[in-house]
Amino acid sequence: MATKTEIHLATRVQQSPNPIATSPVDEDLMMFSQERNSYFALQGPARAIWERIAQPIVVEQLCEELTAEFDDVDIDECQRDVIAFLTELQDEGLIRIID
Amino acid sequence: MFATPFPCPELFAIPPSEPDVEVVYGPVPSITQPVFNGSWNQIQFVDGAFLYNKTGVTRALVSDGCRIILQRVPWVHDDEVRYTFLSIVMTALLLQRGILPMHASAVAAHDGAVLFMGPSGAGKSTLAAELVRRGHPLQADDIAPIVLDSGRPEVVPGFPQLKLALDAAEHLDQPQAGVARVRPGEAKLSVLSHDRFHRRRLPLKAAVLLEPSAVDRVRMRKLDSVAKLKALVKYTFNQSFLDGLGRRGQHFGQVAAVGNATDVFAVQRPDTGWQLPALADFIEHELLAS
Repeated sequence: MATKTEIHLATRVQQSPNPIATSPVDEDLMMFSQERNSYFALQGPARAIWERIAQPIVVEQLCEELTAEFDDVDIDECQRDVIAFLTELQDEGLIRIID
Repeated sequence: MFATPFPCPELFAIPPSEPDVEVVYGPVPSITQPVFNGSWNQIQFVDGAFLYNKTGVTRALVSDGCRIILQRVPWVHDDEVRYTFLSIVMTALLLQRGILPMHASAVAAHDGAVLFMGPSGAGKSTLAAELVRRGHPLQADDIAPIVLDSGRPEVVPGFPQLKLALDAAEHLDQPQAGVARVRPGEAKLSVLSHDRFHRRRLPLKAAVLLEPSAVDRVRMRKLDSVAKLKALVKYTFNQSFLDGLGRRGQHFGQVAAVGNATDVFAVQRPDTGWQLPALADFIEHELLAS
């Protein structure tokens, strides 16, 4: 298996092509990964991030869009949190990095 | 609709028609690669089919959601075979048919069914029995099948049977003489109540997770999305079969659809003393009233 690619502001990411079933429950998005045989829940901003990475997007641009939508967060904090969250998604096989 | 080769008073008769599920006696292969290997039963999945052996009772093969073959031990009593058929074999069949079998009891209100889920001993059947005594028809006990073919969750009638623990039966003034056990030697009565049973599908109105705990009075809280989904997965009857049956993904879609359409409440009741009347009052007031 290839070594893990670290996610930076310039990294382009997208939802994984692996089969992931998603289904809304109330305000949140529930997910089931066939590959991992695991359940995930995306709540609040996590759901907004997931929806924005349906198409390939550069992390920096993703953060700009998010700070425009959620005005209680500054760009530095947003970038830190988004990279941490994307890394979690990467660890679970839910996103892919596009070179 | 079932055609069974043995009498089954837990099922109710309907006018003759083509059965959906055929239950026959015949040879069933032995289990060679069990995914579960207990001293009393063994389980194997073969291409989505469910192969089961209950030691000293019967082998069973459930396939395509419409065929059940039983190879029973020659001297075993019908009651033992029927118990196995109505519990583990039935849930495997329902899962194969894409029907969600909840480990729950359900009673009918005028505008839908209310489901009671919870661990064994939480008092699901006891609460249902008390609500039936108060005039709310039983919709299902132990296995409550849910379908989504109308787009909204609906509870399909289960068996017109309440599985009552002996101490609960005593509190409820349920006569015990002449009432069959759910299976020979088990400390639960099989109380059949064909006349207080709701025989048609009902929309699922609400679900309750019963949680005996150290509280001083009955309390209720609404579960959030994650807790709802967890409860619905956990209290799907034999949810561990989903992987072997190749239906975990389909099941996810079903429980999410149920969770999205339905409020699920965790109801805590004091775990000491006989709290049934207070609990039933609370449920009637909060969830069954119009």
